[in-house]
Amino acid sequence: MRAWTWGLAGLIGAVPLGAQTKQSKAFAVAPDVAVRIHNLVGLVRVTGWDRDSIVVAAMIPRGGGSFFGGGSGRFAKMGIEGQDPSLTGPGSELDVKVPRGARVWIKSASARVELTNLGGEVEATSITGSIELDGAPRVTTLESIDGDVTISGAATVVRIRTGAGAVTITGARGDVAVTTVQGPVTVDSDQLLAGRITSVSGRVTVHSGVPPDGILEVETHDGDVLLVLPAAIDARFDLSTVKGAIHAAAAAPGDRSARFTLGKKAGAGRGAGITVRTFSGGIRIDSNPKGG
Amino acid sequence: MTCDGVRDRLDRHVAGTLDPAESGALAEHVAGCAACQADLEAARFLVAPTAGLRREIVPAADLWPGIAPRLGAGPRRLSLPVWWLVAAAVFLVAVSSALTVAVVRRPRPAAAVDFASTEARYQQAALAVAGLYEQARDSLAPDTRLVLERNLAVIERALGEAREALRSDPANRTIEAMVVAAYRRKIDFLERAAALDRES
Repeated sequence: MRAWTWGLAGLIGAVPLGAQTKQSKAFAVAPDVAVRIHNLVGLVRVTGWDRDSIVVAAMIPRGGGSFFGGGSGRFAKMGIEGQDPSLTGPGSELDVKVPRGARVWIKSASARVELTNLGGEVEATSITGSIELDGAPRVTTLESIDGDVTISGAATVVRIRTGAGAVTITGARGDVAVTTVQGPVTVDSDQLLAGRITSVSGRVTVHSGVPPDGILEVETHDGDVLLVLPAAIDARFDLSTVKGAIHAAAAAPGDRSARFTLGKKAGAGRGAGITVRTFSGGIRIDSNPKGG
Repeated sequence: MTCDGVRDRLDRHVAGTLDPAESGALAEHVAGCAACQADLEAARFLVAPTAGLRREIVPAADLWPGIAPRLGAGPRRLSLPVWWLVAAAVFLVAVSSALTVAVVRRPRPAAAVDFASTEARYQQAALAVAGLYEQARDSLAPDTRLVLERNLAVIERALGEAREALRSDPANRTIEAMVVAAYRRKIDFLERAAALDRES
């Protein structure tokens, strides 16, 4: 057997624990294994670790379905199937440890998804479940219609879509794209290289620096937009609203559009491009005296 | 690349058979042209539904024996009196002149005409995706339907407000862009909603 095609190495066992059953599996995989995880109701917890193996523990309540799982070196698949749709109590819990560089794909309906210490590509979708990510994956794609999405850590490429779910991003750098319908969006970062945020009615708050070659584009229908930027920023601003109000030091009261530059580099034709468009949402640009 | 050039190459671009350099030029044009974006989205939307269609359909019965004898018969000659042809020509000139005067006297901004056709394409695309969601709707859980339709109502309201504002100010390019953005959100959300059925 070649090293990268290690198969299922061991089934640890199934232990009945009163009203629920605990099942565990462990197997060796490649460091960049592609893992597909499926659990509609309950909890999915995925943690990256510095070992080339996957260990999964499933806690399944009565009526919570049955565990399936396995894989070979570069591919693994696991989840809960046959869940009783009338189940009203807590659903099944999947606790999965994967190599840090794994490519992880998760499908949930109402299950909460918790992702920690992952460094590869992560994609998680849910309908009403929340998604929490702590760490800095290379590429992050998270979607939930009604669940909240929270990211903490220096993630570099982030794509998030929600409906009513709130999006909170703390510490992400690089390229961030967020789309919501009603969900509020809050971004708090030292530096965004490229930020694109759109929402219909969600409030958008960005508290970040933008480098001279960076861009920040925000568009809402009636969601208010607040940008808190470093006082020493070099940027070209293009703000416009159809029915809202613009509050910025360089805009006259009552203006529905404002174009101005801040900083010496922007005055010389360089500087970050900051664009905000709303239909009836208010636009406010504040400066952060602390600089960050 | 011009809009006509994009339309000529759109199908090959979506199918992935277009020369990469031409694809790049096409993408560059589309990024700045709302009308071509609508065409591209419509073309992309058609890829999946048309992929399963048969390349040709053979008629159930052989129709050739009925068609072949008629081909040799030659065109029928129409014979009319000269005074009738003169009267018809005068009538045609009068009607076309009247129509031209009517159109010229009722000025309509070219941009508004262009946007009307752009919006029609977005409406068509939105309608088609709404049909896909309708097909998927029954297999979704009631709670999921509720969540989806609550969000769709918000998108629909925003679209209605933007369209209403554009009716009051038809030359406003900013509002035009907002109407297009609202259609895109609607199409995108409906696509996601329809896909929930396929994914689950």
